[in-house]
Amino acid sequence: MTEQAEPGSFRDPSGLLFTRDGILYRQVNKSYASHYDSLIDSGLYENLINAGKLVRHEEADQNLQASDSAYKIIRPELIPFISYPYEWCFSQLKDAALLTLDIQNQAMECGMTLKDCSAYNVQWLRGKPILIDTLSFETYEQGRPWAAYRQFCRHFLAPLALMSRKDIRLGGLSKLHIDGVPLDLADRLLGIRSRTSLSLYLHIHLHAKAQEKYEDKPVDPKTLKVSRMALLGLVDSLTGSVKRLKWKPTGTEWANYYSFTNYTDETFEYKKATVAQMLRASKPKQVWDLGANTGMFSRLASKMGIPVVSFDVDPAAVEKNYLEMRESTDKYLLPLVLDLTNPSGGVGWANEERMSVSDRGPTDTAMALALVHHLAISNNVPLLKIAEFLAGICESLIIEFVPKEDSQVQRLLASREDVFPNYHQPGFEQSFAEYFVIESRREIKGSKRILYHMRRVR
Amino acid sequence: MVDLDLALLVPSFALLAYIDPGTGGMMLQVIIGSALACLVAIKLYWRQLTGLIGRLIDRDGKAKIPPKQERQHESPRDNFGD
Repeated sequence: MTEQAEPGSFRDPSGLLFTRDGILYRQVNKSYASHYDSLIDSGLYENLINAGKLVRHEEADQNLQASDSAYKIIRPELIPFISYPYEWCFSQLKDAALLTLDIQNQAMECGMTLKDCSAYNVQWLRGKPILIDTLSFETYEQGRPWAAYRQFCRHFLAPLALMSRKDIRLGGLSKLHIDGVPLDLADRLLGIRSRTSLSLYLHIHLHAKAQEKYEDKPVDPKTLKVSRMALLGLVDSLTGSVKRLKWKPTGTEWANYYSFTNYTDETFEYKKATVAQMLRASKPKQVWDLGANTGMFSRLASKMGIPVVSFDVDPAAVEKNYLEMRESTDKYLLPLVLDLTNPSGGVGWANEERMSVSDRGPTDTAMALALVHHLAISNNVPLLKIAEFLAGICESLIIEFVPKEDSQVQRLLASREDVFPNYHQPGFEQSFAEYFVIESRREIKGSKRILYHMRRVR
Repeated sequence: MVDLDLALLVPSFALLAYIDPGTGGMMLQVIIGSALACLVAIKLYWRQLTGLIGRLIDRDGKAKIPPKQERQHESPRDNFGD
């Protein structure tokens, strides 16, 4: 039997995640036994499972334990694709924050409390946010302050406030600060105008000041008393604060992309039908749609019941994609923000705590529609390097070649010199032939674009 | 002599709070706790009052106005607070 500890699961002494023979297990340590039993016996586990708010698990054979400190071994339901807060759009982070606060309220009703509030503990399953850390709960002790308050503010409230009140791109700060945005930094960036909001004033500005004031003054937490009603008030205040934060995508790069393409309605429908046909031919269990915009082509796969990760660089396009997904209750779509020219790398301890995008693959099928010209011409990435990268993340590929005659490429070349002598159909096919074999090739009627279905050969 | 296993089973704040809660954050909860408790108490009583009025109206055969909390649970988008 081969056993491997998950690199992102070492901070909490209550247990650990490990895989054995390719199956994911979570070990509950003896030190956490009474809290685990309370979670089950209080009915909290059942309540949260029935509401789809906590990941379901089954208890497994004790002999599978990773160490002698095991109390129980549980086998959680698998999440199809692990994503991270710095890849979520505004509304995804907001929904994850509201889920966390809602769970804290339900936990308090059952005599428990969340002992941590890491945004990394929330994932997406069947189109909804879900808490994946079964060991995040502890028995509530009367009078104790909420230990996870600061973490909630750093992981959720601070980035949401910055994205809503300053600039959506500040969501990227979560990638730099793996334990959430420092509150003094958030306070400084938000500036004095944000202090007109009482809740932001309390939870960010005063919170940052209190951190500064008491930084070198250790206090025994047992001497601090906070009533249960005060904790409920705190969660209620945070909930109101999160709900009031809004962001509406306007005036962005891709917002009107489809109105500027070379397509007539007929051409567009032909392209959709061809992509659907190629998807059926490749029979994938999972699809990554790279440069998905608002997810129009991702939905071709999700409607076939195939889980799709729908990546785009533009937070506004991902926001639109997510809101539409939420509205339609699409269970197979996961929109995420990703800059392909600088994709999420391995971050955290030893660069292993949070996986790079490539490490979360390879996927069965990747789609790269109307993407290659942006990578090759706007970002000067040679076609061979694009082919090499795509070969590292997928088994089969549905890709669109957009030639120089296309108005989109002409637009990209309008303000720069054409230093791309090999950017043509034979050059494209030659570069991709190094890694892929072409299964089918279809010209998109009414345009000069070509769709390819390829299979990786090395 | 302390039974080690038994000691491990006793809930311990220090053992489980593996994240640093931050002294400032805990002090802030102590300082603003009473005010937040008052606000949430007023909110809860208000919901109870509107719930009671709703039930009274219902008894008279008119449309029932459910209290806010119940309405939230009825919504399929319970978590999406928009």
